Amino acid sequence: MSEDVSGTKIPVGPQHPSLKEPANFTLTVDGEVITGADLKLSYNHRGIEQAALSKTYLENIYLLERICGICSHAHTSSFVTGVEDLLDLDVPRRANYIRTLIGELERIHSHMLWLGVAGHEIGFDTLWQYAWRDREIVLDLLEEITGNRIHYSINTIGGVRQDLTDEQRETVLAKMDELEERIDFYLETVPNEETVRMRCEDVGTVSTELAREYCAAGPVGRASGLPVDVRRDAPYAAYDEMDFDVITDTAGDLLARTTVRIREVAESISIIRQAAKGIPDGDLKATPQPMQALLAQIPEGDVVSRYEAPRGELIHYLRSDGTDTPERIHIRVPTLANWPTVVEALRGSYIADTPIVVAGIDPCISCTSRIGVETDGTHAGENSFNLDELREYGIEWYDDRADGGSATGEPGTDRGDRP
Amino acid sequence: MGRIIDWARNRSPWILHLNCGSCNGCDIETLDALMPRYDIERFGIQQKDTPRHADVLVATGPVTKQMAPRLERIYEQMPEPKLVIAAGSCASTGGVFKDCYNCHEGVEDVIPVDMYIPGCPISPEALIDGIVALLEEAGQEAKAERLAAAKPEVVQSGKRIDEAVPADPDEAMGQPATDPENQEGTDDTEPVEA
Amino acid sequence: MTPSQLKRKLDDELSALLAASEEHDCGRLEFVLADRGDLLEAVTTLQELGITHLITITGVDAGDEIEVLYHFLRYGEYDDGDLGEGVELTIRAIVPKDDPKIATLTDVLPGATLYERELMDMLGVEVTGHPNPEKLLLADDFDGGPPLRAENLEVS
Repeated sequence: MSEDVSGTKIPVGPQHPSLKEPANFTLTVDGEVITGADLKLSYNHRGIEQAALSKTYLENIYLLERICGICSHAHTSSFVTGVEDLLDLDVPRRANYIRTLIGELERIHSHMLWLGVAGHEIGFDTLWQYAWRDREIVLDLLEEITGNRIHYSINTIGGVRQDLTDEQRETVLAKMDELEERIDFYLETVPNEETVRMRCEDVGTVSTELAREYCAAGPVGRASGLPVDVRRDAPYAAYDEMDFDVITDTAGDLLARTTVRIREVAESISIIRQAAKGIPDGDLKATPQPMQALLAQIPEGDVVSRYEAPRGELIHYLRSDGTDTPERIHIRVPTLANWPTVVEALRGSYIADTPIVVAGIDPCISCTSRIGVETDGTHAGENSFNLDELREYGIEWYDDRADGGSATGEPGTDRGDRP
Repeated sequence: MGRIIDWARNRSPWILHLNCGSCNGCDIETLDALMPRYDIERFGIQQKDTPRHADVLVATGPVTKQMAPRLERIYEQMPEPKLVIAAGSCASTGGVFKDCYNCHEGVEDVIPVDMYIPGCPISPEALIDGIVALLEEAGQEAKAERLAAAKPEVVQSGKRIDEAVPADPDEAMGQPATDPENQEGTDDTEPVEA
Repeated sequence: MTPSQLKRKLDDELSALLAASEEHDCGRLEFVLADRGDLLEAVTTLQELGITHLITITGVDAGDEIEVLYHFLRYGEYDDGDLGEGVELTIRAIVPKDDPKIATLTDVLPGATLYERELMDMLGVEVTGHPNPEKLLLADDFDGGPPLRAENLEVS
């Protein structure tokens, strides 16, 4: 992914350059324009795939849930579906409906979280506050149904652990009406808002061809016109009974990524309504057998389990050796699939665009908080930036441009409290 | 919450949030504390970007091996007095990642911790509770240190320093605590005079 | 196109390269290459048939050899919001442990870049010709062997 590109090399380091810390991102620039980027993702590596091999499949549900706090249900659903395939278990329809409901609530919470973060990256903190305030509607529902706002632990091998009461069903439907009003508001205002257009339209564009070459997934791929959505191309849970559109766009820029996500929230609301209204009676688990008995029956074999997490296509590969602990678990999170498109999107973008282009694929917070830019001092007189400084740099640079200032990137304004 | 600040610099605490390999669960709940529902900014608690201006470090995650040096560096860059909160099960003990080859067993493996907030993840209310408790404790210690500086005989007598701090400053001045004319507020930061 | 139909087609197109092929109950297809050197040809054939989406690359330590699994997806039919079912397929290449090398796909499939780096880190397979063979997940000064090789597993 990195090549010999001429221009100033800007290693991206988390703190002051003299501390010689390993960098997350190395941007190669020519003036204000980025000509290349190289990334390193090792900060968040915990060693989960190895740790999972000494735990039973049941214990692994709780470990894998904590791969990501934003899409934990995606991980457990994908994992237990794989184990259920190995065991050839028939998960009851009611359990599948509950999985679908929770999965879509998770998608809404994740997209709204992203909307706030994206707003923050372009200096639109009001959007951050609004989006996260409205997100509380969904977190309250999740807490009411599952007992926790994050890490719902609703899945078990063969089904779900908690039931959806009729009262909760009514609450879900009522709250979806409330949420729908808010989403209509975002759909109308966000794509037309001045700051959003200035910072997102035609920024970080990834063509359909490029997205295909780099095998992009999720809203990122769909915003560039790729027809991929695991809920449709390999239906799981109750999605084969749900009616919804796969949202795509052709522009492939950050504005497209924004509108695709907001429109997906609208589709999620529709799916949640279908699931809540149509949930059939039935059992919550495939079998009354105790877990130890089930785990003792897992045959040898491989299984691939895919799931449409909020960020995109998630894959769990499991290999069983006939014991109650797995022989191999391989997880590829959607963010890993989308990082190469960030690198390509940065090429040709301005340094000031870095925070929003990176945020555009909805990466984990942990992967992005350590981006920085080290320069030769010609950028606002600074020798180094971290992501927060880069964000401010971007906001001021665009403000300056909008005011008709020079586009060379000298904001000229005091940068406030800075060491 | 009352007057929670008896603080060496007599101002509201600024927080630096650092993800040390967390799954992001504790991070989004920490940031959620800034959002309209919990709104810790109304208490003057602000999130800062740089360690040089932070009073309280809120660290999440078990601390991956790659993050450990950075965590140390940030801790060193924070000016005194500084406090560290280990937010979440992973930051407290390593959590579910305790046995992983690339993880430490919590923030305490790397830097000293002043307050642990349990939870997987923490809730924003728990975070607020933890910050308040931490500041009250820190406030008492700061008060006690000033008292020791002003009245070294208290230290020499061997009394525990925080027990030597009277609940009502007027007691130290020899006046009845219930005298309304001389009632001082409990957040009086001036050392008491003999 | 159903999985069975696709399997017949691929069995035909790849016949010279395959040691075995299988259709799993769930509809996932699997093709085992006789020779890891044919990997590039197999992938190029897939691309010519419109199968361009590499889901990921999984390495598995299988004793004397390392299995490298290339998971692909054939997109479903898309029409204005409606998307049909796709077909999942896996290409399996066998890499001996005493010569753990395999060719890079990045020349024909740029999207393989990060997955190949992960394979190098975790299984210690050398991906020859990779444009940027830096460590992806492990620290640069990581001193242990590849964590997912059987000899390095700290499994109780």
